[in-house]
Amino acid sequence: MKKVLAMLMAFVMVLGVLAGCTGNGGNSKAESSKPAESSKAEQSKTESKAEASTPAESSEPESTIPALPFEETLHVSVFNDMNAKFVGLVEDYADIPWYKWLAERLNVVWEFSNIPTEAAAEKFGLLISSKKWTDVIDGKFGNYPGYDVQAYKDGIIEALNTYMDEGYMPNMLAFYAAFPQFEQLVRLSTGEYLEVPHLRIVAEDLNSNGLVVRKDILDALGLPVPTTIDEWDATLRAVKAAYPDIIPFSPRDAKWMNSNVPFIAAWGMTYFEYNDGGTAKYGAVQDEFKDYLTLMHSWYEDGILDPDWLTSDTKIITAKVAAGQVFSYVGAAGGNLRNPWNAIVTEDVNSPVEYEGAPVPTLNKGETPKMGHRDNVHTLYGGWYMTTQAPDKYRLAQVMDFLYSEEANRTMYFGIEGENYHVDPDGRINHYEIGADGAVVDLRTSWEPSRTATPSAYAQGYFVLATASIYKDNNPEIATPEPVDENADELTKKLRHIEEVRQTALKLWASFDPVNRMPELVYTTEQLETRTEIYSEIENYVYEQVARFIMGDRDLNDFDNFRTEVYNMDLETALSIAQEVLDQYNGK
Amino acid sequence: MSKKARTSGQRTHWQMVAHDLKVNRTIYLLAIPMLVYYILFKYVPMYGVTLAFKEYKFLDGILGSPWATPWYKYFKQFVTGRWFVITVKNTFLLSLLDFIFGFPAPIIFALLLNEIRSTPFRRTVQTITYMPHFISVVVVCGMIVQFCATKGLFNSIISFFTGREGKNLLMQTSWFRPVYIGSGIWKGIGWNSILYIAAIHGIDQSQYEAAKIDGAGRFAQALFITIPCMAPTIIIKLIFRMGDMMSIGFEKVFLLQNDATLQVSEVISTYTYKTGLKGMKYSLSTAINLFDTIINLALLLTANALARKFSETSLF
Repeated sequence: MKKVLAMLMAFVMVLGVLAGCTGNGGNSKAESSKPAESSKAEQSKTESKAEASTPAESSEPESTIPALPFEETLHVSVFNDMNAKFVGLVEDYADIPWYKWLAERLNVVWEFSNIPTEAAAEKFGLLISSKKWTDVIDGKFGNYPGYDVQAYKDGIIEALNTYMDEGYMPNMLAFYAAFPQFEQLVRLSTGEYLEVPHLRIVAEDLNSNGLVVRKDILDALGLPVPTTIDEWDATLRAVKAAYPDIIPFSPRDAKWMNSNVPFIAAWGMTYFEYNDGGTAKYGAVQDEFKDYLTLMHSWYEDGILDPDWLTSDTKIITAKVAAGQVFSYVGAAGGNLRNPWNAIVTEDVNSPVEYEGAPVPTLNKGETPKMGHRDNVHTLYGGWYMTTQAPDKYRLAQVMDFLYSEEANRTMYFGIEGENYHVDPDGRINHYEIGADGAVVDLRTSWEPSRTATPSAYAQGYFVLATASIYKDNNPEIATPEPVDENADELTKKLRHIEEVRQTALKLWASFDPVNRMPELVYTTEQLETRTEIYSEIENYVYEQVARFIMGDRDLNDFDNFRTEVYNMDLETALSIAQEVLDQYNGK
Repeated sequence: MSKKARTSGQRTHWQMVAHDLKVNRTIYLLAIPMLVYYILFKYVPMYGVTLAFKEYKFLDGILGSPWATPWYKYFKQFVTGRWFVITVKNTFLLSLLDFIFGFPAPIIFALLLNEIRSTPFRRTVQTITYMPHFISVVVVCGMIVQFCATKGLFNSIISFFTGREGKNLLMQTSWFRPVYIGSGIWKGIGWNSILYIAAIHGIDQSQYEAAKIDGAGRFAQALFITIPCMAPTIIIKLIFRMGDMMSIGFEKVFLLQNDATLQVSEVISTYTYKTGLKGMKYSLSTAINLFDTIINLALLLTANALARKFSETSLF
């Protein structure tokens, strides 16, 4: 009985610790520091857990792990590329408030390489072949043959396991303990942790694209926002009949018909690999794919699909949207939804043009879509890698680990308390302040150099960091919307309305159940090589043939031959690798 | 010649070289930067072609990577691939068509321009036709894409005359080649005619006067005086052109092609980019490029040999 009680208590404590690292870290510290009267084994186990979740700066003074900020300044050289968002705002990443704050907080000196994005791949090659690596490489192993796994085998990347085991990276451990599903994305099958990853764990951060429709046209025709494929078909045809000069549907470009799955998602698949209840399948060879092609072909024939869909690009579609020439399109929330619309209302405040996000379509009414557009939580393009040449690896590990501390995460998202936000009496975070002249002041502007007059997403979190948006998720208590300024003119009100539509659209596009989405699988170098070899060939072929089928250049009765051709390109080998790794993934 | 005389002759030859180097040393000094440039940037990087025969390892570099087994592994991969026939055919056809239509165009243009008597008008035409050459190929292709769109310039013209609604030209296999070649002529005609115009200006006017006295009209003058006098220039340009036969410009094809026209628009260079560089198969892309270069070299040598056989002008 006593033993059971002890175990129960230990369990509760572990829970407390986990809650601590997901939410209010402050409280959990106090809880876990009260050791329970239980068996010694249990006690030591929980203590080690508790220690792991405590941020490094509060480690015991007798510990050999140096306290933060360091007594002796640490120089950290980072190979990074300069995100376009920051060009013209700062010359050096070290001047970004977030890195300035980190430098002060940790007593480090940043030495960023600040490579322009367009030269990044080339400079990365030079850096690697020079064999004089920076202490940290920010992402970029997407350009390395065999990716980061091979770079680790080649002795460029230092695995972080030693530092995690020896207690230099408590925040990473706490994070992985709380979110084993993300640990699975980062840890290699052989057990190594190569990076402090950049993870986007909030679903809404992972998708900024989806279908957009002209609300004013729908209203004029008395139609609701379409939700199923049949409704879409009927609506687009009705639009074509009523407004012959308006293009009913325009994808951003041909590849977006797949990568952003505007309509193929209704069949629960993409053109490429997808996960059908634990089975790896290939979209383009399914029977349903023929239905999709048939629909798209009829849309092309009947002038519903943009006749220029294959030669379109972001600029062209944005111009068309700004000119009010399209009824529906694949929109990007910030890019071709807000910007052209802003331009329209800036030109003419009373313009009747009104856009709205549409949900991911389904085949049957009321179904939850099983597929939709979603970026990977963990990509090869983010994350900080420690190189084997870093001189002070232990302290560098601490610096990298600090990015995952609550303090860092909170600061990254909200800025510095008192300077960039206030905590309202009800506990909500408030970024606004009424200035001396009565105008509303957005306090974030000094924190986010990429902030423009229109409120944008928290840009920094996406582009600068090796961390996860943990505390963004768990602190929904941000005071929104902005306090309404009664004196605002028509244009300001309209722009705010656009921003609201944008936010609603973002939520709508993210509201699907991604069960059919292929999880982010971690492959070995050999598996990756085989897959890349097979798929680079198949994917080009699929895109080409899909274009031909839709254009009517190839007859749809020829679909079976197309399927055979794809199978002949060694599709099954690639699929069986995916199946093997998918089984391992699901087995966990 | 006796043995003794020959050796003494050789010595004088080397002595002459030494003497020449000494006397004209400042002029030779001026040539050094150019030599260094060629050695450094054209000859030294040539060791990179060994990549085609190697299993490239990023960290070990080109020299350190192990040799592929068998050595022709990547060539075989390309030649047996599905795209081999299509890309080689398209590269060759596009080059050939570009050559057939694109090569004579500036010559004809120069001849026509020469017949214009009004100097201000000629100058204006010349300047306007130079213009497209200075526009970046990316911009030119952007313009072409817009012109070829369903409601673009060309379709407006077509539907004006035929009354039928046109389709995007770049999305039809039958239109890709005409658009590609036509736009190439438009972009290059003024610029490429410069050399011919210069050649025409260099022709001795007394020949025309003599022809006029013999009763030759404008057409006969062009045919029997202007063209033969331009011939050396034309042949040299022709040889250069033959050397470039297979190396069809990457950017323009890449920017004008799309999935619907790959059957006619996928050329060796775009294929190399897609499978080789994007898939990080550096050895394969080097092998494909080497293959391309060897064909180019063969064409160049053939053209040169033919030129030497049929006329007095040749590169070497």
